[in-house]
Amino acid sequence: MKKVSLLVTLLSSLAAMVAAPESAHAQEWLVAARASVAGGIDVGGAEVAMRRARSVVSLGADLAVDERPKDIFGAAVIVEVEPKASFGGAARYGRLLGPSSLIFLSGEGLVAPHTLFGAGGGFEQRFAFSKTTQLTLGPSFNVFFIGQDIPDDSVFWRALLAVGFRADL
Amino acid sequence: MQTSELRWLGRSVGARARTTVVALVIALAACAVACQPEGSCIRYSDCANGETCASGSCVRLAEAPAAVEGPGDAAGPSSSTAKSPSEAGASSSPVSDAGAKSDASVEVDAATSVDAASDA
Repeated sequence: MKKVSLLVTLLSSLAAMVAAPESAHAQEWLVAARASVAGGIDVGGAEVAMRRARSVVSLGADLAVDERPKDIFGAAVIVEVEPKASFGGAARYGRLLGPSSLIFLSGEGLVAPHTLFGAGGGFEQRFAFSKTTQLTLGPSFNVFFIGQDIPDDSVFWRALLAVGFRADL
Repeated sequence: MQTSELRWLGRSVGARARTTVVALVIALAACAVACQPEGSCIRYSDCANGETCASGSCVRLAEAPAAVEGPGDAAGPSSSTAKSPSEAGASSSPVSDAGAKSDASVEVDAATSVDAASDA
């Protein structure tokens, strides 16, 4: 009798396991598109000088995994549009401080018509338009230290204020 | 407001962000008026075609070979680290780069400047 009871228990357990819904779920990517326009100041050079920075337009995407939604990786195409034009890209790692605040570290490079590379960081505050779209506003700071466009013994700092738009896809 | 929950050094992150943004806006506004003297530069490409950035100022290429090449650097334009005048001149705006004639004159000036630097 005990054996029958044990067998019934085992079979029912097996049936329950087979019939149970799949509890594990596939990892999901959280993707967002963003665009921004930024202006600011450049400080540095051989003789430390201050200039208005070139206006920068940025188009990019953010990527996160649903298991770690606070860690956001992003990439963007950047274009300096005035007074002179140049083209490059940027990559960044951001960490959400709250539902609408982000700090980030970034690397940035201009590749055409001349190279210029730097790194920095910044802060981004998001103001919701809707459930999936936000206005973004925040400062960023970069130091450019290598490239064809600056003398070898020279670096310069750039402080920008960016206004943009972000949409969760 | 949810951002008020975030605090750092006794102040909310929102307040710090506002302070930073306001400071940056003021600096930008002031800079638009006062911090861009004529002929100043930080990058080579800040200068017009036929000029290069030397010691924070745009100068004619033929006038500043030593300032561009750096002391004792006679490696010439093929050096990966030296900024030859031709390279610096080519870093002018894309608009001015479109002028083939002016580029040619820059190349001539650059060659002359590099030769002079090498002789020195």
